[in-house]
Amino acid sequence: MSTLEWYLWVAAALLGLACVRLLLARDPLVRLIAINVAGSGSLLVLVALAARTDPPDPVLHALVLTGIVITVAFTGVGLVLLRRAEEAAEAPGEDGAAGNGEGP
Amino acid sequence: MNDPSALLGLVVLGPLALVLVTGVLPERWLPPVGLAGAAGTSAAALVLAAHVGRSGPVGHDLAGWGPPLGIVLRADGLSALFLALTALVGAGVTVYAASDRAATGDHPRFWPLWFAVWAGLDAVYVAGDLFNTYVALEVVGLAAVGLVALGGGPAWGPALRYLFVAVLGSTLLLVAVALVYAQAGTLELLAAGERLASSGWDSRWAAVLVVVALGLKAALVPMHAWLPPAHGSAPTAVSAVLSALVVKAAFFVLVRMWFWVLGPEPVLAVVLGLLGALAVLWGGVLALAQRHLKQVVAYSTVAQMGYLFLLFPLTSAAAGDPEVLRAAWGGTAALVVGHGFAKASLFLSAGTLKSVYGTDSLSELARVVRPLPSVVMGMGVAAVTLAGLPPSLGFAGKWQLVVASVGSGQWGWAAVPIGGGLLSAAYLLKPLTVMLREPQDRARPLPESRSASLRVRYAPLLLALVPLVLGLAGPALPDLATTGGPPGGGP
Repeated sequence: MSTLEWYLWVAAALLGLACVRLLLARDPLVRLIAINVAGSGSLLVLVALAARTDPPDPVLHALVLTGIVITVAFTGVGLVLLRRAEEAAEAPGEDGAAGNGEGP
Repeated sequence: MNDPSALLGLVVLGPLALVLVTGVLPERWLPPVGLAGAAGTSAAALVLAAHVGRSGPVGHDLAGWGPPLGIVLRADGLSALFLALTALVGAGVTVYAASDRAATGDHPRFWPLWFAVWAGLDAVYVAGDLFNTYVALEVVGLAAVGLVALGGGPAWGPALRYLFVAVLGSTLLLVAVALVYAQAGTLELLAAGERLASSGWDSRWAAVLVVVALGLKAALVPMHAWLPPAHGSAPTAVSAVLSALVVKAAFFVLVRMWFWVLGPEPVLAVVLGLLGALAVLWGGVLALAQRHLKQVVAYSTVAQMGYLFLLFPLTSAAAGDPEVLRAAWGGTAALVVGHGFAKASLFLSAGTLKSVYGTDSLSELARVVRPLPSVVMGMGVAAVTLAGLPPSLGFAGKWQLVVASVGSGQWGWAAVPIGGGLLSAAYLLKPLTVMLREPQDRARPLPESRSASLRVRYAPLLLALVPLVLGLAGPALPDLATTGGPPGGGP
């Protein structure tokens, strides 16, 4: 098995395991972490493919950087939503539907 | 503008600039600025679409940087069709949102998020390479999640679930893009397609990844369960945009990858067609079972998206017959446009009723003595398109799909548009009957909890009338959809 194949298999395993966890877990925090792991798996595919040439392929590295930015962005959005959803669930009576058509 | 290629940049950068502007302006300025911005964006997109329709595809390298590191923009007939749909439906929804604060979740952040979705959609349609397609789709997804969250407490859970689905779809799409790049050595759409075709690469696994990734985002059965809660709990204007436009972007990318990059896969095409047929059936049955108007409309999106996936088996069985290909593409184009307008209209109608009477439960709405006549009229007209009655685009689209299935000798697929039409008539007539019947319990009529402005009452009706008129436009839509058609796969 070449180094490239080894890393591609690791990436595929990460992606596969993370997808299973994402689909089976109930806890939203676990799911958010699972999807981060899946993202790492997909970025590992890109990094492994970039290392096929010497020097490594700059285009794929540029894609990985963009991918990391996107990962940070959705993780942030996800954490805020998670907090909000849990706070709304913990406060019975306060349905949190602020301005959902009932505003003045 | 003399140079149409500058418009390619404008349709993306225009709304992107509006994201920044509407993000910092004081709240009372937002509706007028939003309206003006929407008018400008729509005008640019329509001029671009008209230019593509007249003189064929246009392309542009942003700032003169070509591939591989520059951003290549390209618009062909299919892009023009989706750009024009986004422009017109987007303008209609913006007018509604500017007239009624409640339709935006009563939140000023609606405006930057909505323009981010608009910029992302336009970027998906004019992206000339795979990575920009991925980034643009991600922009649409993240902004759309934010828009759903404007619905407040009940919407936060569904928004989170939508985020998971959207990001999982993007992750799988990114892997598929990486596989294509590893094989073709380029991310540019057309060049990658040509190199893959000449290399004889077995693209089956990449195609499976792409189908799962975009099936998730387009809510193809059985990956649809996230859509009704997200679209149903979002504020009115948001539901309209998500159901009419955002799910279409995922379908557009699937079509691009399938016909332009990977090349059709006959077996997978039949699987997609069967899932589409299942969506029409299952989405329709679930829509029939709903007790809340917005949920009926949301499940109808699951069903209506199903028809679009018939494009894959119909073109793959066409064996290069130009008549069949034209019918399949034309029919799909008509259904995309028809559903876009009709669904936006239905969600605005449902939202108007919910906001005026304080509920969208069908049994509660049955207590209304005479619900807003123009709104109910709009629902009826939209139902004509969705059920596929003449002279609407829904009828033209389904007719052409039937022609394509008969012409290619695959009679079975013809059952889907015909049977699906009956089912959609059933689930749309159920709420309409509730609106039109005299309330049985006259003692407890449901009062109006707030009044609706003129624009709010007539915007849904105007949107619903568009596909009815466009149904009379004849071959204009198939002509546009097939301008600069796919290499090998189209006419």
